[in-house]
Amino acid sequence: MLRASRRRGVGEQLAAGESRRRALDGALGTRGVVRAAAPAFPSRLHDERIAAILGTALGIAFSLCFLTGLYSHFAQHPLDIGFLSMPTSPAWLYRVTQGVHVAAGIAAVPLLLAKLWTIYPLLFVEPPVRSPAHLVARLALIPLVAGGIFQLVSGLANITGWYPWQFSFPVAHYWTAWMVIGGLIVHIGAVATPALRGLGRERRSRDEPDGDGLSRRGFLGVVAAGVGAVTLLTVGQTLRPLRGLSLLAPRDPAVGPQGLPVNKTAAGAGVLQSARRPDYALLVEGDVQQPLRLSLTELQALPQHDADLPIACVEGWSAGARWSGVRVRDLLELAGATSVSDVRVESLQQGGSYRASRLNAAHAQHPDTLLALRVHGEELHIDHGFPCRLIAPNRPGVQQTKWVTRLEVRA
Amino acid sequence: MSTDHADTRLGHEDDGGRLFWVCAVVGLGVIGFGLAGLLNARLIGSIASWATYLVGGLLVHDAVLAPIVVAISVVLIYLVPSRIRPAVQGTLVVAGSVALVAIPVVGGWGRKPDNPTLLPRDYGLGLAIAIAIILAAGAIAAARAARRPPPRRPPERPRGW
Repeated sequence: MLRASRRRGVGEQLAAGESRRRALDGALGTRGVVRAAAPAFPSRLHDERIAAILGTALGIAFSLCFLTGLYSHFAQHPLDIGFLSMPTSPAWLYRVTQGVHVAAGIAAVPLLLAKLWTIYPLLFVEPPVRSPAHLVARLALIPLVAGGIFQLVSGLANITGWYPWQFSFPVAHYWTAWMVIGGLIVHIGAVATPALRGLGRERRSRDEPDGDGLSRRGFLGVVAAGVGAVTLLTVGQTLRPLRGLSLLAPRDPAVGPQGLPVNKTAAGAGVLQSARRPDYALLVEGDVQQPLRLSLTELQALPQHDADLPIACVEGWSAGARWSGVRVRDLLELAGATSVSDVRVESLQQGGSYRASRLNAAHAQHPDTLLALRVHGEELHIDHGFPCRLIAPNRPGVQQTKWVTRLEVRA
Repeated sequence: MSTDHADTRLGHEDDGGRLFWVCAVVGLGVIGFGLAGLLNARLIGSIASWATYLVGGLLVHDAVLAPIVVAISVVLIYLVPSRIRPAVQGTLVVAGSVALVAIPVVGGWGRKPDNPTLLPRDYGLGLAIAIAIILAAGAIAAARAARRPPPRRPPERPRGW
């Protein structure tokens, strides 16, 4: 009560036109909190409004990463429950969500550093714990901050194919994301009031606090410039018109055999010999009336169709291409598969987590779902899956199985 | 809601309002879900390695990176005239962000001999070009600031980081 009335006094003094610091000093005397904290971190940038603005931007970036990451996780580990099954359209959906995932993560690097800088004095707050709620809020910062740093560092390394650790990246990145978002929920509960106050109109219209060096507005400006710079320097790996600016992108969407990047090469998959064997055959088996065994020549003799579809990699790059080949649904019809619930697509590749993928019913029947034999009018390069590869709308690249040798139909 | 216009101090979290406790219960549940999922994941590999990177990243920020930024701030206060200091600070923020993001591509530790489409560029050169552009922009900003008339009112608040 006493403090509240003091603060009202401060507000009135301010309204009367006195400078904030003089008003505060008058109200709190030399024992005022601002004065006490000033010698350690005197910069005016350790400020509630900056924390609120950067925190909001960072919260949006983390939420975008979480939602698009969740989408990517379930694209790769399908639930196949009614409406939760992966849709076939729009064909570009995964390309956009995963491009946003990686771009938002990269943009979060300057945002996170700026936010942590703004609130760094609070690491040393006295007393370290002032209430049970304060203890819970501080403990929840560990998964939020440590997890947030972990997600950005591990994600940045992963998009360059660098794995200096001994854990599985997709498993750790997925579960850590839940810890970060849980920490974010607790944090929002703890800072909602000061954040809304910091974002409020009266804070915006206030003068800059006294001091020299960067102003609050200047600081937000250079952080925005940092976000813009890291984005422009990398986003061209999925936004093709910007590829010339993307000096730091791990991929160039135009660099690779037949103008397309490669994630797993034929040499890396150990299929250099098996993919070129003259007795190569595609098998269509399972719940079918007439199992098929088709040579490459027979596949080439079937009706060919074109599809303009992107390869959209989980690492955040993507590239569109015109594919031609045999429709999967034509093969299913030829084999006499009357009802199809899913199709397992197997590669010549002997091991590895991505040697096979599954097509749900909608994907299996889609007219653009092809076993592609050609890209841009040329026979597939072996690194793109010669003799034939799966290409279907709205799927992660790892599920566009290459060097396909067997379709197993399940009714 | 509040008449408290003067108080721009950090650290005025809600101490235990209803909103906080609702968020705390939900959030702690989600954290627990993530932790349990991680500990029960068969394919995680080394949990110790995960924990090392988790805690290591936090320590590298709080105990290394942030103190370095404080040290740079102190040096700037003594070496750089206050009128052009914002331009120098801004240049360092942008260039530092770009340099950090560039570490894995410039290091190139993920390169694979069989896959030239991964990390296809000369990233050292790319980083040098990007930093040169940022320095040029910073120099222009500093030159313009130096030509502006000095502020009428000297800063009241202590200078610092």
